[in-house]
Amino acid sequence: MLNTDTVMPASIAWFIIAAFSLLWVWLGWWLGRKNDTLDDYMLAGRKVGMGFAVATAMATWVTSNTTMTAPQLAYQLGIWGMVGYSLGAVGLMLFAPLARRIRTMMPHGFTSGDFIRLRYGNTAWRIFLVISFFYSLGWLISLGMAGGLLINALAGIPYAYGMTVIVVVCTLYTVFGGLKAVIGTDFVQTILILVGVVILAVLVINEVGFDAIHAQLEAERPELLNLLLPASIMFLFNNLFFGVGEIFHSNVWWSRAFAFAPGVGFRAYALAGLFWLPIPVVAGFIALAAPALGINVPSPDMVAPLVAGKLFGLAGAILVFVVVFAALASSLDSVLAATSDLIVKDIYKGHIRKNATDAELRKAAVWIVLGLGAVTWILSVPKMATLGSLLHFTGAFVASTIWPIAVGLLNRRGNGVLASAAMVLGTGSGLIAYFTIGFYVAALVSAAVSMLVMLLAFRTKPTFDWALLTGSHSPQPNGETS
Amino acid sequence: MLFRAIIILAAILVPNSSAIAAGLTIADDGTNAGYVTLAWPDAAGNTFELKEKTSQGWRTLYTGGDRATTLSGRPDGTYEFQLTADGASVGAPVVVTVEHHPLARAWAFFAIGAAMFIVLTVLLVKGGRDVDAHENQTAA
Repeated sequence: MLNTDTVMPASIAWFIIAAFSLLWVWLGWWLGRKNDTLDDYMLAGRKVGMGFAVATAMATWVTSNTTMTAPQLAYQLGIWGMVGYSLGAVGLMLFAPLARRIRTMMPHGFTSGDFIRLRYGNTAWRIFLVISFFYSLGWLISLGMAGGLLINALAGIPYAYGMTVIVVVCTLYTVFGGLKAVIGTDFVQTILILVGVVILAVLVINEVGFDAIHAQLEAERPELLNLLLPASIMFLFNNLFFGVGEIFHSNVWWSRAFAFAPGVGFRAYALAGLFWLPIPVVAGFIALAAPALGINVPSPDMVAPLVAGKLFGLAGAILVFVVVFAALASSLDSVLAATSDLIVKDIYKGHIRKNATDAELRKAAVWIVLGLGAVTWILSVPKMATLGSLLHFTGAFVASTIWPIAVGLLNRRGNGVLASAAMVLGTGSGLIAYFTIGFYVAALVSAAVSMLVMLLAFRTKPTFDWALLTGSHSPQPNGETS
Repeated sequence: MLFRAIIILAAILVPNSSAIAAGLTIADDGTNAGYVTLAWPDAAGNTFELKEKTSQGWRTLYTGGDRATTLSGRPDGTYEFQLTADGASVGAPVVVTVEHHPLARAWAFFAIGAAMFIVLTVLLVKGGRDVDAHENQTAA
């Protein structure tokens, strides 16, 4: 066991897990009971309104990474760690104009892979799929890990048990309800997350106080207060571009752009970014109270639940448990659903069964969600890294896709060779930076190299025909471009 | 096949947080950023004490049953730690050297990020306008 100083009896933890599991699974079944078509299951009928759209964008972006990794980064990198994490909101805001563009240009599109295939051809598409799956798996594993760590930190239940329950529950309700269930549960989960995080921050300030926190940090961990801490300065834009890369490329966000009713995407993403911005700062601040409270932090990604448990005893532990469980579930289901869409359309339909009917694809989607859940569980069992280092490892991959996507969506210049080179060279450079400098520069280096390659696009002629994207709904005999 | 290879590669390459050793080990090395996680996953005993050497002698950082601790916010310097289990020393002291990145390097990364952010924002704003104009022209 990582943490031996727990405040919540295991019986209470199991009761909360059981109650919320039943709630999410029932909601998933109830919301998904009228799913008839593949569009219903994968894209919630393409008519999600503003309220649900903002809630799902925000809830999906408030993940275990926000509620557990933002405190980790505050604990490791100080003030700029949590501020840098909040720059992840920029990704949502910058995606707002792209979401509008995607919805208009590809009214019948299904996945981000659709776009890359049609815009850049098969080679770039396959490179993109590798990057996207690698990232999705990294995200899924981090969510599974966060579940196990959370339950262990608060209740002492072994990591593997907690992780298993989280993964199984989220997989089950995603299977039952598809994207409609994911978005519906996101709405409830958003309210729980927002209320819980605000209550916790107010309680921490009241109980410990700014002065005590500041005094202890100044004496024991002065660099956390240093606004010129070099690693933190390097981290600021790295995290911004990591967030931009995650959102621009991931089918989690594209599937929502396709699912939102016409005219909703721009405002939904802009508002979600604005509402999300302060959450990492609030969550991160909680971590800075740990030294003043004399809490031992065995793993930095456990710091938030440890502080809440120590400060507020059982009630605080239950509050954190509910908040993080909601945040975890809201993201795990989204990544499962969106990754399954990508596999169904781009791998199964695109490479394996090119003539599959919608009914066959609908059935395949269920098995793929179950398979993804199983793979996530297997890869989460050995806790391979801290949440922060695992996530930022994937940053090297996703940041390389920013420029091919932005240029490809907004400009008729650029081709598959440049896009492929940008993704491969960007990822390679990002990985080198990860291992030679630190996790806090991997995405930045990857995006910079990718940009340099894609700038060459502006020396080519504008030859791409936008009509190729608009026609993405036309059933093609094979999944590939001719 | 490629996909499987990448997963295996990641499992090998991502820093492992559960190093297997009997004494005090560095589980997460962030010494260029002022933090480090010290762990003793396989040390025998029930109650552990982690001590740090100071100019006044050894001071206790942690006492209890946990098997790791994370230190952060450390300035440049050399730090020495010793673990005891149920009152007996475990292994030799571990020396950790914190050396932050040079500030010039940090600002260089910051400048690259800021420049890239400006270029991306211009592309999104200007590119969107160009596309709208092109579509309006096509529709007319």
